[in-house]
Parts: sequence; structure tokens; C-alpha cells
Amino acid sequence: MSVLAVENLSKAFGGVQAVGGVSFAVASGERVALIGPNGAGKTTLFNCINGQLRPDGGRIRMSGQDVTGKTPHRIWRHGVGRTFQITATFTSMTVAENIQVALASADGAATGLGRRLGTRYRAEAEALIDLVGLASRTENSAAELPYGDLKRLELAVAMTNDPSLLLMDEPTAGMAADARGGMMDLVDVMVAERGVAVLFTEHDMDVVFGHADRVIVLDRGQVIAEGTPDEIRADARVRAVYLGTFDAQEAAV
Amino acid sequence: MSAPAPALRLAGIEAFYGTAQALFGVDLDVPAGSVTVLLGRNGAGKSTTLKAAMGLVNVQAGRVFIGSRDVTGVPSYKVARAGLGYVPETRRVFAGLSVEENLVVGERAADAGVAVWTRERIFDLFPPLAGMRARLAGQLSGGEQQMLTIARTLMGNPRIVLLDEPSEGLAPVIVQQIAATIQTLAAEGLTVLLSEQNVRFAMHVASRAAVIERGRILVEGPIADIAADDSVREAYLTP
Amino acid sequence: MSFIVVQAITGLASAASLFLIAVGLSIVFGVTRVVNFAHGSLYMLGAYLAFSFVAAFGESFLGYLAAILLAAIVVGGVGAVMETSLLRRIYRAPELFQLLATFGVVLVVQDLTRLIWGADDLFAPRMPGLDGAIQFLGHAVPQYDLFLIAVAFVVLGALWLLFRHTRFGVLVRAATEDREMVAALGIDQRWLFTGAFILGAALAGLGGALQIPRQAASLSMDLNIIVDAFVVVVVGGMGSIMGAFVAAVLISELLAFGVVIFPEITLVLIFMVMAVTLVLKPSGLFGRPEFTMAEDRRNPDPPLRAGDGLSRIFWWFLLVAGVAAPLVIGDFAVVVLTEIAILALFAASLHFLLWGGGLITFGHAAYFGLGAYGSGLAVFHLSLGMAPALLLAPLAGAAGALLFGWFCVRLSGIYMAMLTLAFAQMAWSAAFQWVGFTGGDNGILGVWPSAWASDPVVFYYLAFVVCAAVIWGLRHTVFSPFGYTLRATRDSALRAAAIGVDVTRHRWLAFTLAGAAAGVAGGFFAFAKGSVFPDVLFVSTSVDGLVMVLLGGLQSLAGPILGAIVFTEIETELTRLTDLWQLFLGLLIIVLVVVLPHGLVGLSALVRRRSS
Repeated sequence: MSVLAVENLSKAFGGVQAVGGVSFAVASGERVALIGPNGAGKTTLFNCINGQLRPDGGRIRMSGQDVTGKTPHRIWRHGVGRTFQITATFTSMTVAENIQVALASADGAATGLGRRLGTRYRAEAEALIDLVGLASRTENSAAELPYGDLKRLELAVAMTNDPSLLLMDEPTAGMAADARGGMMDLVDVMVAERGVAVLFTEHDMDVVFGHADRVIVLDRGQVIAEGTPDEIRADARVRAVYLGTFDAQEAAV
Repeated sequence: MSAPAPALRLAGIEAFYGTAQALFGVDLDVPAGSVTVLLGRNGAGKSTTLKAAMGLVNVQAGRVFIGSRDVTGVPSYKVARAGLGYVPETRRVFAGLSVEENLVVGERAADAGVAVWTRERIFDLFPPLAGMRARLAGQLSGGEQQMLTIARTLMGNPRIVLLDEPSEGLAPVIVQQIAATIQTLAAEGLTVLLSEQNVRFAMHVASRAAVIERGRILVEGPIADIAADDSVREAYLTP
Repeated sequence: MSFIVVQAITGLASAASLFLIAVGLSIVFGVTRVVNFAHGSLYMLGAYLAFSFVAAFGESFLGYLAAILLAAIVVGGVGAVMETSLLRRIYRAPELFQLLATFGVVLVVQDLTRLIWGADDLFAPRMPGLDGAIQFLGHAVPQYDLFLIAVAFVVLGALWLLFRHTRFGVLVRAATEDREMVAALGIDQRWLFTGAFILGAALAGLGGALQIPRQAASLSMDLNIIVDAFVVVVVGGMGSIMGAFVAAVLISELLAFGVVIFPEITLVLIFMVMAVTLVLKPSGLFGRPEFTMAEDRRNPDPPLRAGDGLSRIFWWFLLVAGVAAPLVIGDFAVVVLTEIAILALFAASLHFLLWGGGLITFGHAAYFGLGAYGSGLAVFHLSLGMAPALLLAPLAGAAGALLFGWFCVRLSGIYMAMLTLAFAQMAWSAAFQWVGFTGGDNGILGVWPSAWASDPVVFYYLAFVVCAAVIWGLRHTVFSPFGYTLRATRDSALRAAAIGVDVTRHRWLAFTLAGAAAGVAGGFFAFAKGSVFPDVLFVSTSVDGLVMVLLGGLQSLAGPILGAIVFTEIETELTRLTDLWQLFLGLLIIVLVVVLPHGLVGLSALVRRRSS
């Protein structure tokens, strides 16, 4: 059974059809990249899946269960971890506390008034911190972390509910070029060790072609191509709308 | 024969965000009429250098000259009036204003001897915008917004245009259009300084390049030389 | 049928002034992102100035008209001074500080107006030439009402032209979106801000001046109108001219018809309109959603550390001092100390929301006051003893917070601040108007402690122990998973939702918890004073709490306690020396916001850093 199944999803803003009848599925342990030119509907599609937008039509199923139109905090209960294009962390907390709060929520203890958070969930948090390579930063405030480390922290937080699907919106945006590979290697570790599936959007084609098992190309709200990185690279239509080359432009001039 | 004074000169710029230092003595000359590209990775200080020229960050040491005029520490609206046009990285169109109204905000009378941009010429340069004059800027696509920010800046009739990562986040097809626009501006006699990570794009549009890393300029010169220098490419510009 | 038309005209006439002030508030907010609490003061100044000008040269129609216009122009000038001297310094400050600073101006203007024009209401003559009525289907319609309606439409049309078809208007709209970008395009936006503020101030002044033939100029005009104006901009949508117009008409018509049909229900009607609008469209009828988003916190708080050396010493010192003090001080001082213990709890419960949850409330007096009324009414109507009456206090506070909070936590930033204020003012008007139940202005008297606690020292210890315990409970909550999760929703609501937190529900629970704690303080306050008056619900009580929190320092758990002590001492001493307490408090607030934004705790940290 697919971890995520999107069936004939559509969403319009005003008169503009941002997403028009998109269907695809993500299998367990699969890494799927969603690419397309700006305005193709990637963000809208992503936000429908993560619960930030309510689709006009179609269905979204997670591990068989219908989650269409559910709010983000409910989607999370279905085993979805998220990272954002611009990192969102708790800046008044340490790295460890960021993860402890998420673990408390996973444990259903977010409204607990009893024992202090203190060292609760500490061992589990440290295991995740080690996994993303932030051990030396455990007691640092999230506000002090360099951007690359914030991205790693987000990934650790996203893993706290032991998700079956990671939704990553441009996982390497804003990172130095040499750090991008390391970040995606870490994602690959999560896939290999925890069996999580990944759906991500990305502008960096090196990341897409190096770390996706399958690529879905959107244009004007429609899926125009779907296949392995090699197939997508060779697809004439994809080259025309998205990848392009300067050679082609020079030829035209 | 001495070289003519550069259109824009940065000398020993040190800039800060709060207490964090971003630029550590940037020296950069942009010759009049050239297209100069500032190359470097994310976080190397490209955007900060452009903002420093524009008076948008806290410059604590060094000087900025437009021609022979010292504009260090001058409020950014006065820097703009001195002939510097700024096109920001994230486009920043006025989303609630129409395309036409965005152009009105940028409008400013031209100084003597500067190419004069009228709305008609702007719409000739960016034909897609002509058909959507009354549309709200927030409803435009990313590529159209990039055109609009450039157009808005041109309405101020600048001598020098600063473009902060004009290709970022845009589909390659749109990037090619932006490249053509930059070539047109250069042909009009404008001086252009742009920041880029995309070396292919940079080589396509620029004649000169400077490489910035950790808040300092490492090398500066004709772009062909810099792009040909394998050690520079390997160390600072990949991929 | 004809009655309905006549009543509708009356409503429209009332809408005119409300529109003028609300649209000014809205324009100023759009450009500067500051909600100007003192906008009502500008309105009041317009009325007083017009009164004086009319007395000087208002005998003819043209003279009267000139008096009104001159008042508007002078108020515009006052606005120019206010913008250049104060607002420019706080454009980058957090919203809460901006609201407080402009409330400081409210207090200053009130005392100055009283000094200049006296405390009595001033009745102006009617406007010559428009002092009659025309007959309409057998009903008399005042000519002046028709004049007001015409003025409102003229102003609406002029503003529309200004913002759509002049460069100034387009620039103002652009600056509303992105000030830095406007500057980078070569525009000196300082004059845009000043220009927009002068425009807004003059509109408020015009609104006030136009009122004097209908209504006496009085010192309560400022806060009465500003709360109505807040309701209008919340319903209509911040930054929207059309929104201000439609909402002003809607609210005024509701009041005009409500008064005739069921006078008691008008408040409920307004409450319903606001509630329904905000649930269906949180940014208001014509508002832009981005204005409802709280801005990113530029200076994140440091991580919380439980009990480092210095703070532990502070808490133990407080505890020991609180226990030992009655042994060494006099009776009056014990009464003051009791009040400090109660207000410390009030401030701590406010701090819990402000700092712990990032929930900007400007109406925390509602829950304090409901606690006080809960206890007072239990004694008065049910003849309950002190202990059971005190138990009702947190229930009353929590019930109010549960109801109001359901709406408030759906908003954030400035919208939340205004909605909390509006709810608190509704609670205040209910207490004020529902004479049969609450005693209205005469209050509830005879709310005295039981015999065993009638000695001031015994009552002090009771209040001290309970308040200290509740403060400790709030402090513990901050460190509990609930408190951490609450802070998580403050730091990043997006991330909190992505880890499964129901952000709205969590904030609602926190709101209710803080309401219960404030209710406890209110209950003790009632017994400490022996009476309950509507004042406990009034905006000034909310502001006192905010001043205590800011005085002590927002970023410290000890801040509200320290703030309550210092504030109560200053107030006690100063009200004995002068009747210009408001003027002083207003200036204190302005100084705090502009010079000492981190409060006394911040001051001590600053001194420590300087000396090391």
C-alpha cells in the first residue's frame, strides 16, 4: 500500500487553476522529487498534502486512510514529518528542548501540567541529535545555530513521531553548495535506517538527480512527466518547459 | 593612460547585521558601462555587498563612491537619487498595487545624460507586462515579478543597476529572458553589477567578475580569466 | 415604514463621526503599522478645540463651519508633533509597546485637557442654519444629521481619489507594504509617514469637532470612541477605507435600531457582529490577511534556565520579606502590601500570556474584574461567606476567559490586542449598565472578609499565601510540557502545528488558565477593598497590569512581581502628592517604552554588563 496517494487533486485561487487534477503515489521508503517552473503549482500541491490548504476536489490518502482537508496537526498524527523552505524552529529553546517538545507532543503530553519537561524524553532526543550530527550543539539555543545546522535540527524534529513520510519543501534552499550533499545524505540515512518515504520539492537539479528515486514534473497545475531521473533528463518536453539550456538560447539568437 | 574613474567603487567595506560581521573589507571597482558579476556561494556576502552600496545595511568602515561622490552612510533614498538602482533578491514587488502603480512608485526624473525610460519603452522591453498593466503585482508569476522589479527600478532612470541574484528561483527558460534583458541594459549604456551563484549565467551576461568568499573579494578581473582558473572554480564556485 | 427610514438616517448620522475616526486609525495603521490608541484623544481634542473656536467666532453658519475646519487643522498639527516626536521612535518596537506608548499619550492628553478646559462637560450651541429639522413622512429629521451624512460621503470620495489617483496615495499604499523598498527606489518615506499621520489626525479632529452640536465635549469621549473605532476596524479590516465605512455604518445602524427595540441587547448585538465576522473572516470584511499575522520576533529570548543563583536568591528573598514584613511595618503599610501581593498575581497571570504565549492581551482586566464581581455578587446576592465567594472568583475569571478567549486566540498580534480590549470594555459596560444586578456605578458594597480574617494582618497572610501559591503554580506551568508547548506556539506556530500541536486549542487553554489566575487576584481584591466597582474591568486596570509587567521586564519570570511592587509604591506615594497622577503615569509609560524597553530587570543586566 502507498504511504501517500494523491487522487485527482485540484485547487483554484480566484479564477486560476493552481492544481488541476493531479494524481500520483509515493511508496514506502521511496524518495520522490516534485519539480517544475515557478507557478507550476508545486507549493499549492504541497500545502494541500500537508493540510495548510483545503483542496477543492480529489482525495489524499495516507497509508490508505483518507486525510483530505485535515489540519496540519492532524496530518502529523498520520505519521508525517515536515521541514520548511525557510527553517521553522523554536528559537527560545535549546536544540535538545526543540526535540523534547516534539517528543512530548508525540507522546500525547503537550498539555501536561505535572512534572517539568526538564530531562524528560532526553535520551530519545539525544539519539536523534546524534543521528543528525548535532551532538556538540545539544545545549545551544536554536537562535545561535548556523543555517545548515538549523536544517539538520528541523530534520531531527520532523523524525520525532517516527514518520512514514517526510514532506520536505526545498530541503537545501539557502544552504552553501558544499553542504547540500551532506544534508541529502542525511535524508538518505533516514530512508535507509528508518524506512521513511520522502516527498520533496527542489530547485537544485544536482540534488534532484542525485537523491531522488523518481521525479514528478509539474507545469501549470498538471503532471507533465514522471519517471526516473534519467528518463526525466532525457524528456524533451521537460527540457523545453523547465530545464532548458543556454545553448538553446544562443542558437535562437 | 590611466583608467577612467569607476562608476561605482567600494573601498574597505565592513558591514554588520547586529553584532555579526558579514563583510570584512570589501574592495570592488565597477567600471562605467561594464557588466560586472559578483560570484560566490550562499552566505559569502554577495547580497550584503549590494546592500552596503545601497545603504541598506550597517556599514561601520570603508567608503562607497558613485563616480567621485562619496555616499557612505547616506540614507538609501539619497543613494537612489544619486543614480543607483537596486533590484532585490526576493523581488519584493508591491503585491497590492497594480503593475502600473508599481512603476509609478519607481518613477523619477532622469538626470542629464542618462538613458530615459518611459512606460512605453519599459513595455517594449517586457512585452508580457504590457498586457497586464492593471493586474495586481501579487498575482504575477515569479518570472513576471522579476521583470516588474527590474522595470520598476528602471523607471527611476539609474546610471548603475544592482541586481541581486536575478536568476534565483526562476525556471531556466525565464532565466534566459532575464539574461537577454541584462544585455539590452548594457547596450543602453547602463552600468550593471549583479550577484550570482550560477556561473553559466554569469559567463553569459558579464564581462568582468569578482569572487567573494567569507566577506572578502578574492579575485577580480575579466570573467573569462576567472572562469578559466580551475583552482578558483573548484574552490569557490562549484557546482 | 417611515419610522424605519428615520431611524436609519439617525444611524447613518452617528456613523459619520465613527467613520471619520476609524478611517484615520486605519490609514495610520496601514502606513506605520502602529495602532494609535491616542486616536480617540485627537478626536476629543477636536471637540474641545471646536468648542472654543465656536465660542470665539461661531455665530454664523460660515463661522461655525470655519471653527470646525480650524479644529481639524489644529489637530492635524498636533498629529504632526506627535508623529515626529514620539511615533518615529517606536516604529520598530513590538506592537504591545506601541499600543502602550500611545496609551501613555491618552493619559497625558486627558490630564492636560482637564487642566485647560476643566472637568465639566461643555455644551456647544447648535450650528446656525442647520439647527432645525425637516419633516419627513410625519417625522422630524434634524438637518444637522443630513449634513453629517453628506460630510461622510464627501470624505469617503475624497479619500478614494487620493489613494487611487494621486502619487502620494500610491506611495502611501506602497509604503504600507514595504518601507525599505520604497526608500531604495529613491523616496524619502519619512514625509509619507508624517503625511499619513497628519491626515489621520485631522480626520479624527474633524470627527470630534462635528460632534459638538450633538453631544457635549467631555473627558470620557476619547476612550469611548476609541473602543467603538477598534470594533469598527476589526470588523471592517485594518488598512481598508471601504471596510471602515461599511463597518461604521453597520455598527451605527445596529445601535440605532437596537436602542429602540431592545436597549439592553445592543452590546450583545455588537458582540455577535464582531464574533461572527472574525470567525468567518479573521482579517475583517475588507482586511488583508497578512496584517493578522504576528511579525517574526527579531530578538529571540534566551532558553529558560530554572533557578540560577541570582534568581533563586530573589525568590527566597521575596518569600522571607513577605512573611516577615507585617512584623515590622505599620497598618497602612500592611494594606498596601496586601494590594501588592494581589496585583503581583494579576501581573504574573498577564505575563504568563504575554511572555509565555506571545498572546498580546490589552483586556486582562476583564478576568480580574470578573473574579472581583464573582466574589462580590456571591456575597451580595447569595450571602455567601468569604471562603466560598473566593472559590467562585477563579471560576468566574476562567468562564470569562473561556468565552472571550475562544474568539481572541483565533487572532494574533494587533487584532488580538484590540479584540481582547473590546471584550473587556463590553464587560465593563455590562457592569456599568446592568444596575439591577451589579449596582452599576454605585458598585457593590460590604464585601468584607469573614470575622476570622477581618484583621488586616490575617487577611494579608491569607492573600499572600494564596497569591504566592498561584504565582508558583504559574511558574511551574512555564516549565511543564504545557508551558514549553505554549512557548513553542509563540516561537513558531507553523512548526508547532507540524509537530501535532493544536495551536488554537493550546492557546485557548492557556488563556483560560491565566483568566482563572487573574480571577483569584480579583476575588481577593474585592475583599481587600470591601467593595467592587466597574473600574476593575476598565481599560486602565488592564494598562496598570501591562505597565507592571513592562516595568519589571517582560523577559523575566521575576519581572511582573518586581513591577507590581515598584508600581504600587510609586502610585501610592504620588497620588498622595498630586492629582496629576495620570499625567505622570502617561509620561512614565512613554519613557519606559522608548528608553527602557527591557524594564528594571533589563536595566540591572545593562548595569552589570557596563560594569564588567
